[in-house]
Amino acid sequence: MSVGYKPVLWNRQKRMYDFVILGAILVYCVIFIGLNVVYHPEIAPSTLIIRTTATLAVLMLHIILCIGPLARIDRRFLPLLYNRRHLGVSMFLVAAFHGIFSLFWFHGSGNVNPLFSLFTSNLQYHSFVDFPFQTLGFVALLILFMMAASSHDFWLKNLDPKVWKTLHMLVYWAYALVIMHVMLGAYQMEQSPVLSSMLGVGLMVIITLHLVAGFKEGRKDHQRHQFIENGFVKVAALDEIPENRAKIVHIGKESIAVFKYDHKLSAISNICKHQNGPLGEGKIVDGCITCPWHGYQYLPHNGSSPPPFTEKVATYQVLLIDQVVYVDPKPFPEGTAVEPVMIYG
Amino acid sequence: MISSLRKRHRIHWVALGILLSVGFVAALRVHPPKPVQESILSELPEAYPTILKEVENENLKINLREDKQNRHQLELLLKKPVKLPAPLLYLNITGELNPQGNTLLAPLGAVGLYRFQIFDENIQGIFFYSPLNGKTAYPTKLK
Repeated sequence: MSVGYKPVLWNRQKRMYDFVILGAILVYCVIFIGLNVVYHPEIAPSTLIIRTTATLAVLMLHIILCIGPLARIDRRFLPLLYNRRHLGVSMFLVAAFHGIFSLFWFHGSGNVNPLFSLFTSNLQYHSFVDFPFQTLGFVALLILFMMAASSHDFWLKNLDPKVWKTLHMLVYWAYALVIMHVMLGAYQMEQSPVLSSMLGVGLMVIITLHLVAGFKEGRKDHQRHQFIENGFVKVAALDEIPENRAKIVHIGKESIAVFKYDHKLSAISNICKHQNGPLGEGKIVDGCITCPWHGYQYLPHNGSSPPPFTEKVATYQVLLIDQVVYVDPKPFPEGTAVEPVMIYG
Repeated sequence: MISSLRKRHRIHWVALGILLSVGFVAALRVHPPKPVQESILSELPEAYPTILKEVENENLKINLREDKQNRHQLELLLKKPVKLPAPLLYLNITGELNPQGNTLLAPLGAVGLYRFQIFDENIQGIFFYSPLNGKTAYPTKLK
């Protein structure tokens, strides 16, 4: 969250995170290249570059796609979610290196444009097994490029949440394209059981995690709530809400995040004004509720972004009776200040 | 996430789960036909049973063979590739290392075993000749 448009809002945590990413990338390259040099000394340097960057990008894509559902299944994975954008851009850079290097290596020596050659050198689009797998990789890379480019503050600010989310959900289809790019390309050439086994396990993990997280959250939408008098709904026992974190409840069309902080309780809408991010999965940083997606911030007692920002979300009335937290699902107008409930003892 | 977004995620992953699983298994089971390299050499004829003459050096080995009908066969085991452009194998009839008057057997220069039925009398040996530069290689006499 910033007043101006900056590609990256650096802080110590992000620098550490990026340092770890860069280090992990270098370690992977050294290990992969080292093993290949030892066990396949006949391998050409160009092939080694293509394989190293390909396997690294696929591995990073798997890690990225695991983070979302893991954070929804178990809150302990939430810290991984906060800087996922940096991992995504890093993965795109590795994938782009693989794609551009391969494009010029395989299509750059002819008398036609390499891109034209890419789309026309194999025209068996009617065949499954001989399908031009390189075009699958190209389309996947295009999607990843659009995602990486739209990570910039300018696009975050100006793209409609629906458009932005639709664009970013294309990563799932990019993943599908990448899987088929490998299975119809590298796998068909070598039919390596190691490659297919690792990719198969990765695919199973990704699909299972997303389905489990999806159906787990789906149950929340249909759960029955315990109402008490004057419309309040039971949220949770007080000690179920971690300090500086929230408990999320879905009541009818309302998605509410009840935060515990500084011996107080406050409830605001769970949906960030920016890109519909889950505020209840964020935490309180510097006294502000911080969206885990892009760091937009709101004051817990009135749902307003601190000046000079103008975003506002709805607030809700909270009750604490016998160490049990209740919330009234009727929202106050966005930005309405509500006295936080004090926690004594 | 809002409820509608969660629903979109579920729909996406149910669809992707089915499509990707089918695609993955199909790619595992269906392999493209491997290109078959057809042999550019004719099959090696059977060796005649009797060896009349035998010569061997570091580059090649020659056996002059004969069968029961007194037909002759030259058996050549080339140990090292012939370092000539487009080499041709000649039977040396005249004693001269050039094509004139000698019998062309085959264009070859790669390491391997070769057999040729021969009809010439007075074979003095073999040599390789390149029509591109006029040079010869591996001249070998049949003693």
